[in-house]
Amino acid sequence: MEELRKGLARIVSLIKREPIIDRVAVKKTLRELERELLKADVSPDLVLELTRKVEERVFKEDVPPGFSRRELLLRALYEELVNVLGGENKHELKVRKGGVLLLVGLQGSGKTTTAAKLALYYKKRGFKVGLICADNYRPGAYEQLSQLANSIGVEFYGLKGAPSVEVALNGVEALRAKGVELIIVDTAGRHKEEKDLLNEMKELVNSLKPDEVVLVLDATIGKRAGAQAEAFHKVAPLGSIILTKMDGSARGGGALAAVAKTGAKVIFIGVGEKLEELDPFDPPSFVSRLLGMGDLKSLVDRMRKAQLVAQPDALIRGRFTLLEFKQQLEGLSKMGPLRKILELLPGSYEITPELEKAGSENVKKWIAIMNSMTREELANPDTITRSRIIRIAKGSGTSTKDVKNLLTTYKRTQKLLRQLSRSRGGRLIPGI
Amino acid sequence: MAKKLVLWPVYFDASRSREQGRRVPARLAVTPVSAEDLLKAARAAGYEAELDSEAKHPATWFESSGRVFVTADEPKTVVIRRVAEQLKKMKLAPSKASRILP
Repeated sequence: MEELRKGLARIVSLIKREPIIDRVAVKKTLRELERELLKADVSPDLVLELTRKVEERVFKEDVPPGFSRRELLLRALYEELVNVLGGENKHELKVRKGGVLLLVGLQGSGKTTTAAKLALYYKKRGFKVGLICADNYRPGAYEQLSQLANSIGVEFYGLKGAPSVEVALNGVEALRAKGVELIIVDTAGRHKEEKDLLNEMKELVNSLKPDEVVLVLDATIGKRAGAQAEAFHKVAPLGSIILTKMDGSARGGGALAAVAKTGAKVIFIGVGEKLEELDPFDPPSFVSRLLGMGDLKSLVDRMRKAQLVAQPDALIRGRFTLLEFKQQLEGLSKMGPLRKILELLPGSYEITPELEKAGSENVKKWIAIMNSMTREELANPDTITRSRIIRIAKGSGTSTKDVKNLLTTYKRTQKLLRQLSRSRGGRLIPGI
Repeated sequence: MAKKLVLWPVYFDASRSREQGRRVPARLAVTPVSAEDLLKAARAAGYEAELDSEAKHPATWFESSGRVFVTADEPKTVVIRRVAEQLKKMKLAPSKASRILP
């Protein structure tokens, strides 16, 4: 992954140094990007899709006020990369006291080491962890896991010579009796092909009924990881994936992209041989690190804020219905305190106590209320009668008082905006 | 033994169905009924009464109509009757405004 990181950082600095960001410059940059991604074994169609999207965004989207096309390019790059690698969401394992995690994977994928890594990770988070070696096929598997368990200080169970299902079931009982809260089961990676692995996995899952099934996948195979992830995802749609050996090869990027494309959830990546080297996978922060930008993340945040403010096209023209109010609020709950947004609006924008009450708790409620309104009601709030209020309250699980509050706040905001717009001669934000 | 009873405005509201909480036959019921009206009526009927203005009745969980606590010896049904009759009297009486205009 180091190669890819260096390459991407180079591209970012290229973008920053380029005198003008015109079609030619963008194309040049994107060619470089394509080259780097292909080197990382990202599948060509994904690469093409990515660069196409970025190019489109840079020239079609409106640049938020105060920002340059260059910054838009950087933002598009960041966001599209995040998309390719799985989106904004971070997935986590459902771990609870008394839970069982089952690890599966082809031979050589790094299951045993990863089992120990996971054990250490959760031990650090306060769980009493136990490891079970259900691998009676590979020579030394028992000893290896037992030693690892010892070195990190977690309980261990194994039974040589018995079939893996039996070992697993006995192990769970034995460990629970010792007070273990989280059990991680390492299985045998004795298959060369997914098909056989998945069949055995089904057996194990049926008898063991684990809380989570985790596929341990070797990132060095590059984009071929996609096929494995796909097969796994079909059989176990709720399963998760850990990509190992991301540090070792240049192909980690491709593996990640291919896996993310299947829709499977990547929860951790292995970045080294040491037991601490297991990172929870979170696409936005991963991409941030890849592109070498602490500063890019804050840039993206500022741009999003500015976009929110720039949204008031309707506001400016004097149209402010519940619909626009709702859009503002929806943008808000992703964004944070109303005050910060208002700060950005040029001119003296008084923060009325009502608007301030539109702080976090109410926003969610109000969005729920507006979700129970019809399009008509949102566009013409004056048509809302008492009986409609009752329907809206019922639909959103709120009280009629709440609905009425929302309506009065909306009306006040509307009046405020109208006054502002009038005092500025019909324009809310100068220069637009 | 005086007991504390709860009276909800819904009990007396003519515009509501029994399913929505009305307890009183339609001809004895009134509309609209507020918790404050109830309070006055209960007191006028001779009971000690207190108001709880933010309570919601389960059948109308989306509206906080409020309720009235009444202390009485009699069975609740009797109390409801008495208060209903009082309410009816109050609501049908000419309001203050009508004294100004003939």
